[in-house]
Amino acid sequence: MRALPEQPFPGSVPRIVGTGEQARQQRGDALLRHAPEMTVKIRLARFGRRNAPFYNIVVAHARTARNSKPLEVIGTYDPIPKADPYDDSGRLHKDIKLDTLRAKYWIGVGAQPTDTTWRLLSMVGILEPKHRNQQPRTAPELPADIRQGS
Amino acid sequence: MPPRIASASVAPSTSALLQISAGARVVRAPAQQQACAGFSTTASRAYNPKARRAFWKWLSGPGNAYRKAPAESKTLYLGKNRNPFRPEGKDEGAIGSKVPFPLNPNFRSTPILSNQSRELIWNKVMRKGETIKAVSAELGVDITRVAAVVRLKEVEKDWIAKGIKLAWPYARAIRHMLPVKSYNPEVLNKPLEDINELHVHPHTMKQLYWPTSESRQFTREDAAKAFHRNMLSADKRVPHPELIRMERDLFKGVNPSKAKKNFLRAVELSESKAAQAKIRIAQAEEQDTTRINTKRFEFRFKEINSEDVGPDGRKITAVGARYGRPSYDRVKGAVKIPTSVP
Repeated sequence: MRALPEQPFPGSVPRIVGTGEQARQQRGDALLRHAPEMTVKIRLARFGRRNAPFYNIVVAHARTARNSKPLEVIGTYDPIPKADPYDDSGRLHKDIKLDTLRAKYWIGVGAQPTDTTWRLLSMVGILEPKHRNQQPRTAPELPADIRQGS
Repeated sequence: MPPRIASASVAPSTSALLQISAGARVVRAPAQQQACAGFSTTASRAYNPKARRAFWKWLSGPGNAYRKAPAESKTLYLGKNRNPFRPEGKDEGAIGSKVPFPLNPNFRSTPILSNQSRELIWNKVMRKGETIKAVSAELGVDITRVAAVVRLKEVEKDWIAKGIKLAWPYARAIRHMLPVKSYNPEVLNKPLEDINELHVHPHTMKQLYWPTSESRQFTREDAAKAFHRNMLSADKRVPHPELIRMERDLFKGVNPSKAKKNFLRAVELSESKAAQAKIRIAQAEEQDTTRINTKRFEFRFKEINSEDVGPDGRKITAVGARYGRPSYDRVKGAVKIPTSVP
């Protein structure tokens, strides 16, 4: 019997021949290690025009193209800050539309938000903020005996 | 090649215009001047076409009448026989004419509101608290025009308070060029325009073959329903349905002062209803919005339903930029300027 090549082409799952327990184990490991990633991501898809970005917040497979048709559009993110009409205080706002229910569902079934969407979802309390809280913090109170001793 | 310098006789000379406004009796055409490069020894050829010669002749003859601007409420347009290219024509009065272009009698300039009447409207709405509909019905000014006058007056007063310089000379010049409508609050005034015009709805533009029974009444309500199931009748679509009701009251023999009182109450009710609807929409929007304040911006999260995308997932109002459907934001003929005030 002709021996099959160990790995037909780079990136594919290596073929392991054999019927024993060990071979079956090895085949399983190889599949897990080399199978294409099936991660589902919550990410942004850029629309809009040049210098006028506008994003869809989408749920999509990680390895699909940025603007390909996603599994679901769960919102939009307009990153251009806008002023309210008749408001000249200089305070600007950004508009985000989000279906929080669907966002929670997709997080619940293991969808992985990108950093930007994580930041947005953490604002409405769907996720813990990823980055350390930048607010100034106060040190915890010292134990009583140390306080009295000093 | 020597630099080309425009001949002073071709361009309308400033001094000639000044002469007109200064009130000189006889206006002379500016003298032909040598207009060429300084180093050229050839004098430029005098070019004085017949039309221009005729114009200057006219200006010192029958055109003299146009040297002074008329009173603000009057216009002074060229009459049919005041054509500068036919100076021999009869000199007929044109003061108060509505036709600014003698060769286009179909164009008639419509009157604009004088500053005093705009102030009157602003005073009625903002100071006395009268409803826009009531002011519109009283003065015969369109509802949208009353609203626009109030808004622009507010801007004007705001600018004056801020010390911004206004273009008064420009406004005055425009008022001298157009017929001006002013109101006297003491007497009964003529209306400025028709205020109860019916907007032509696209549903009513189609030809319809609608067999009806002769033995039954076919009212405006039925006609509206024939065009579309959600269509309102003409009586309800006009800007002032309350005026129709008032006329019906008067026809029935209701005391005029009582009819007026009823009208004012109805108008106030309809305006407060519209305001309440707006407030309700704003409140519903606010309820769906979470505001997160950060150091730099306020993030406004609006709750939406991402599953409301229609049976094929391509509903036009579904959230986000759509897939596989072109954006029509650059299509020809689409109105790109905002059509409403936020």
